Amino acid sequence: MDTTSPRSSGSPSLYDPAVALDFFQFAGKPQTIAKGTTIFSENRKSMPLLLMPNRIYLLLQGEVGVVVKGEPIATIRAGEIFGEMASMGQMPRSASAVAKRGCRVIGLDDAQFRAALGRTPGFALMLMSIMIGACATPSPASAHPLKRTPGGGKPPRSIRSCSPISRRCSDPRRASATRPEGSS
Amino acid sequence: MREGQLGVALFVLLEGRVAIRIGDSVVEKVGPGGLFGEMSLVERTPRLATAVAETDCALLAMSRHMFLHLVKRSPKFGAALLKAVGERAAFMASRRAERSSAEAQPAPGDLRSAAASA
Repeated sequence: MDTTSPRSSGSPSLYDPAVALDFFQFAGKPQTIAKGTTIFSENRKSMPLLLMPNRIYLLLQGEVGVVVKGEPIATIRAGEIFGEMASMGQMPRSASAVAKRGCRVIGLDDAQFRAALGRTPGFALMLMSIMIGACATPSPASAHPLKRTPGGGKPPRSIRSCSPISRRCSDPRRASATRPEGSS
Repeated sequence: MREGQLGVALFVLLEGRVAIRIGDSVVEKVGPGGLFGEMSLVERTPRLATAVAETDCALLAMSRHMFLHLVKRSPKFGAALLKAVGERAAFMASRRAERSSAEAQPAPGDLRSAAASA
């Protein structure tokens, strides 16, 4: 018997917060981060690819602010992944992440990530869906609680637009569900 | 494949060269060994870009079913895809950001994924 209830919205959701937690816990250790700490910094300069050990993070507890050029553009909540684009694409960070309060996170570097992926290869699909969901959001994305306005306003930076799991899809109905399932 | 269509397959390029276009701008060139079409396959979303064969090409088309199967079976395949998707997603995000300020350079070379390394 399958006791897990499917998400109510139309498109099938690939993301499962429990799987994410399991994935991160397998390869990494929870870390406590004090309020005000910068977890990573925006770096618009190109760097040699091999010198960018960009970690991917799962926020277990607390809140993380996403900041671009000193301006806050989004908040990551417990149960959400952040930093995945720079990590996966091995690109410079396009935003900074700052703990808005005391946080617990698990960060995985490339080797840890690969180890976890070796155990749970299907997690790649969830991550891809998060990243692609950000791209696939059509232009009139005003449904987003954040300022996702392709024509003006704040530039939707990669980390901001991709990280919140509960908003990963282009389904506007889901945009209001700011509390991910894993947050309680 | 064309922007806006529903994706049914991804393509591995065996021979030739394919230009990936969004609107009027070429955002990426894919060479032998590269793949494209994966972005709309994960959650069955519309194509984000148009792919045009610049030369005669030999392609391997992979169904969504096979794609999902491979990702679940092969961490290496998943990792390679994640890298490509990460680069492309980051590029899309920065492109959107740039467009919002001005019509900046449309296709920086930093998007050359594993594909373009031929």
